Amino acid sequence: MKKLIYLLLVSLLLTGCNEKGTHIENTTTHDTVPLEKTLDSNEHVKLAVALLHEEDLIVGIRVNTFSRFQKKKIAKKINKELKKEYPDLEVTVSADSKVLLETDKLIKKGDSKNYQKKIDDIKSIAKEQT
Amino acid sequence: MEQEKYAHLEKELSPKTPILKNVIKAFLVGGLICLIGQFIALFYITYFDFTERTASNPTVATMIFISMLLTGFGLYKKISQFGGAGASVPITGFGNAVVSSAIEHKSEGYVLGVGGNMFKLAGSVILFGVFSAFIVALIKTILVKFGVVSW
Repeated sequence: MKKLIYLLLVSLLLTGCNEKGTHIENTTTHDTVPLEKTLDSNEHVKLAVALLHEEDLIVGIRVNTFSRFQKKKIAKKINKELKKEYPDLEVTVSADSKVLLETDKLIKKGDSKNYQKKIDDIKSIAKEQT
Repeated sequence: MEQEKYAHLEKELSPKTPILKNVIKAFLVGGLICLIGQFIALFYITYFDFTERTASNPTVATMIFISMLLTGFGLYKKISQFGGAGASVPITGFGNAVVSSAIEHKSEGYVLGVGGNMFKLAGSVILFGVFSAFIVALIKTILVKFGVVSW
């Protein structure tokens, strides 16, 4: 029994953080290279999911554990940078895991007809206050 | 002189408080309660339309509901005896304080018994919570007005 608990604890510690990278889904004619560059060059971001669709650009990010206290500031900074890169798109950047989760789900489903409706949903949820 | 003697005697005779053991127990129990709360928050984020920001309200409500059930079945008492402050500092301890005094005074009637005694212990928590929130909000409002910080 004691061995089992130790095993569980160790495996929990080891599997803590191993996801990394940037996933981008693009249905527009915009160039995604500056987007990828912005996300990859930021040292605080460990996982990012981005979706470009018609007039919208939604980015969900997950920051490193010790940067979590500044995650709102980090998201704001990335938002500013992306607005400069894509002036004709409506940019939404959020460090909230709900945005990341929903955007990822949307891309994995691959149902591009429903994109607009879902994107509006995500945007309205992200704006909500307590 | 007599009083001093008694204090000395009492100190010598009473068993030593195992502070380190109590602290570790409180840490583990409190951490476990918060872990459960984190899982509930994750559940609300994943399956409902809550963000990290808005999931805290239903999570707190659920935790209080769980502690209410545990208090009613007499299980929270055991957790408190083991965990000490670790079980009474999180929101579940607050729920326990309200529900246990409501159960205790039920025999005195619903209005003067339950209604009058329910917030005996929790009342001070609410009073000082509201008061300190008011003070903090006041300070922040003044700072924002003078442009030192932004919302």
